Amino acid sequence: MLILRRRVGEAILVGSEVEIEVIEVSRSRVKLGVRAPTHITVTRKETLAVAQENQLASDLIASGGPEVVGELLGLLGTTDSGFTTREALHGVAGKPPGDSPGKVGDSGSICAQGAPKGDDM
Amino acid sequence: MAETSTGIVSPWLGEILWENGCELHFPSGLPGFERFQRIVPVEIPSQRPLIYLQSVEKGDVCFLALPVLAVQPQFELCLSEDDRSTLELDRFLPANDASPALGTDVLCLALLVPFGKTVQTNLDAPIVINLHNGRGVQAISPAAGYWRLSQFGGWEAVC
Repeated sequence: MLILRRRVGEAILVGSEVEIEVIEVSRSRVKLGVRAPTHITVTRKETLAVAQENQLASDLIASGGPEVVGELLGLLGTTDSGFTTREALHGVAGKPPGDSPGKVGDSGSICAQGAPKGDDM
Repeated sequence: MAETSTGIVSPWLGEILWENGCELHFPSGLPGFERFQRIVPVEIPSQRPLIYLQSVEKGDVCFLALPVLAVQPQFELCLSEDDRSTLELDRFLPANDASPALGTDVLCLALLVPFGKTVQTNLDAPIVINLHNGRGVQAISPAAGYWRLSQFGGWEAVC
């Protein structure tokens, strides 16, 4: 690993296209500015693992469809989270929860409703 | 005023319709899905508390999620300054209140990831939605770790 010391305002070059500048230094963190062409992805290291997880997450429904959801619901049972997602969303919007299958009814609500293909619940 | 509806066809959810203003906006997308910035949350009453996060821009991009409190009732949200800025939280919180209230100021969802015959979720990377303006971010910070749904029901912390 190459270790370099930089002050605020000083920069590091990675190849000929990437420049990393020290913007601000605090007791526990350093703020960095990165100049890179758009074809080079710049991201926090911990983001890469999450990106890989998100890819798997997006495949959850694709790989199993309604069967996966059915199995999950069986494992989850009656989970009491203290509030439902819909109550949280409607509570802030000031609208009471409603049931309008297939379409979001009240303006201000931000939760769509739908029915999955093949859902016979 | 006439309602303006938009919709998308999902391979798994069929046709989904919603009113303008009901979309969530993720300015940075999600890691790995940075170009998908518009998401609509879909709830099927018979499948609560599951919630689908359906991309508006691509029908086959869809995530399954749960409210984090359904996984870990003691969950405490840790937000970086960057994430707070992305969510524009400080416009809606009192000046002396640094912590957004779950369910009132923000909604936190845990994305479900397949793990063998069950699912797992990373509570170090919850989806956080500012309920005041519909902006969202996947907030990554070491906090609650990984949790796995047991085949006997209930969530277990993964060491």
